[in-house]
Amino acid sequence: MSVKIVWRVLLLLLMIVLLSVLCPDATPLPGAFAEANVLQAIPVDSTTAPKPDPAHYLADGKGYQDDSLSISMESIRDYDTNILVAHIQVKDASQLRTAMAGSFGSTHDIPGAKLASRVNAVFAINGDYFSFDSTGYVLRQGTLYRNNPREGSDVLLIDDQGDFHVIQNATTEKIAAFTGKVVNSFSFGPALVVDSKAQTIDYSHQIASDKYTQRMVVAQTGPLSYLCVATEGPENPDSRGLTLDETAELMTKLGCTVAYNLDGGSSSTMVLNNTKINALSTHKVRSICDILYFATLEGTN
Amino acid sequence: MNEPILMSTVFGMNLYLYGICAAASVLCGCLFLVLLGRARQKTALEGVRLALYAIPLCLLFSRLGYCLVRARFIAVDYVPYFPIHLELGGYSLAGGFLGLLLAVWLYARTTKGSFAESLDWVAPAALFTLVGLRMAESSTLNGVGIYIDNEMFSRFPFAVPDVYGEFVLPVFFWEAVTALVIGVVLTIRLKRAKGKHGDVALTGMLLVGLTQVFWESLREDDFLRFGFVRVNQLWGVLLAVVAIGIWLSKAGKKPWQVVSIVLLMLTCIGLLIVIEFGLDKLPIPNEVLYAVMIGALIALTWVGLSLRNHHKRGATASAGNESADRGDCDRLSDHR
Repeated sequence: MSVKIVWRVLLLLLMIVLLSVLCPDATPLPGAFAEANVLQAIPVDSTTAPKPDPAHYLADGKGYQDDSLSISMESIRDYDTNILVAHIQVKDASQLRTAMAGSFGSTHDIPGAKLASRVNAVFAINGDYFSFDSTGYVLRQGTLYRNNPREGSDVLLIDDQGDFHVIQNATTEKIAAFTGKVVNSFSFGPALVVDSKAQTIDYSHQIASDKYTQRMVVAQTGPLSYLCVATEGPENPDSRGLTLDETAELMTKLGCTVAYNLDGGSSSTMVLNNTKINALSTHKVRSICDILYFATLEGTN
Repeated sequence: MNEPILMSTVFGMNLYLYGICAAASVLCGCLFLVLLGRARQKTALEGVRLALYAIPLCLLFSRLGYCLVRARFIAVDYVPYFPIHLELGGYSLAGGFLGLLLAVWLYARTTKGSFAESLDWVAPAALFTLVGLRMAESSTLNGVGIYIDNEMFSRFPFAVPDVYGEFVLPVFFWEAVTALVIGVVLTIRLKRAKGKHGDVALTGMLLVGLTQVFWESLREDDFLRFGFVRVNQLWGVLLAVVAIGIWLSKAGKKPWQVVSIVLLMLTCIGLLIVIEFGLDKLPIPNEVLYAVMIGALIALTWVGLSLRNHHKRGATASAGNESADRGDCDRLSDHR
């Protein structure tokens, strides 16, 4: 009797040991009882984002859709100009990112599509071309590179929640007074829409503000919800381009809470699936030094 | 193309492959200078003396040139005393050229020699040094140009892989080949020099300047620039204008001919400016724009070389007249 008990206890222990070998860690087993897959935020540094699955690009070439990122492209015509609008919704603020063509201080430029491909961007637009000028407040992926705001300029701050904040007539003191955690900033401007109101453009401070030209705008429409707008210019047949006043009006019509003007003209670059998609009729690509891009959380590292 | 390759550390200073190659190039250039000097009845010591002026002055001026162009950025973005932090930033070819001019001037002054003749002597050696300096760029992220997406051309010498594995035009290689060819041409001209002193150096300035305008246009690296204006293109055009200007002033052309030549030059330079700014703007294919650019550069080269040859013929003719006059004088003195 006692021998039987010993054998059964030993068998039980053996089974437990076997179980522990078969399940070496406490990871929940996939299947009916598995928890939902938790998407990880991308580190706020120059880490390359996860590579998107090509199958998630829409078949008509007008967007991208997965559990963490939704992008839909819309072509509209207004102001006698072809306008491309990208509606973007992300799951996490870390998906809104920036990248530079070279290390800070270099004058290295690169076609936007090449840079987008390098960092696994799903969608990208040109930034503020900070290497062209020595002024501006340049903070990228959490690192401050330059604190020299241009007099009378507007600076766009993007915080760790993915929210846009405009510092108008920016000074070092005004920026320092901002209490949130800034992850990225842009120093081109001006701010076109603030608190859902179109701004009056100060023509004395802006470059080519009254000129009909290509424009590139980044805007926020709600929490983790964004718009990127590229307008064609007189270089493109059938398009005359927009002035900054018209661009501000357009962004208000599109329902933005905050809209900020980025580098335009021939620098205007909008990239989807590693291909430039705006102002294609000129067949020309100007190399740029930085991009703002949206990445997926679902891709492969 | 790679991130700069660290070879060793000497007294706490990093020794990069680029630095070693650059130093080796300068050494070869100095040796060639001595060799050329021997052919011109100059002692090896004279070559070494000139090199001793040239090396520090070229380094100093090329660094100053870089710092001047980037001054606005240095004041904001970099550490204090940036200019003496030689490991930061870079150097300027135009500045190095000015340093070389000053070195040759100092040498000519101290030896009571001819500045133009010394410049002729230095020019081929400087070009061969440039070959090495260009090739040394292959160990850095610089010296590269436009992306080559056509698979047919995705191989050397049309393309080299960059640090991300994408194929880019190896501008450094083509600039090195160009410098080598010009160096050989200048060496041959130096050996057969019949024109006035300075012609070899001016020919070098013309050819280097105009070819640099083209190659610089293809660069997509950390090239120096004022806004959208590429410094080396500006310098290249300036070299050509100076060379052509000197030959024009000595060619003894009639006023209407001078005006025509100046107008032709201005047209070509204007064309170059329009093309450079139109490369990402004009609705004309870039291949066509580059073809027009090459046409304008060839026209400027032709103008320069024609004036040089005219000037040389004039010089030879006047030298002939002088000897004829001298012969007459000799005969007259014999009569007496």
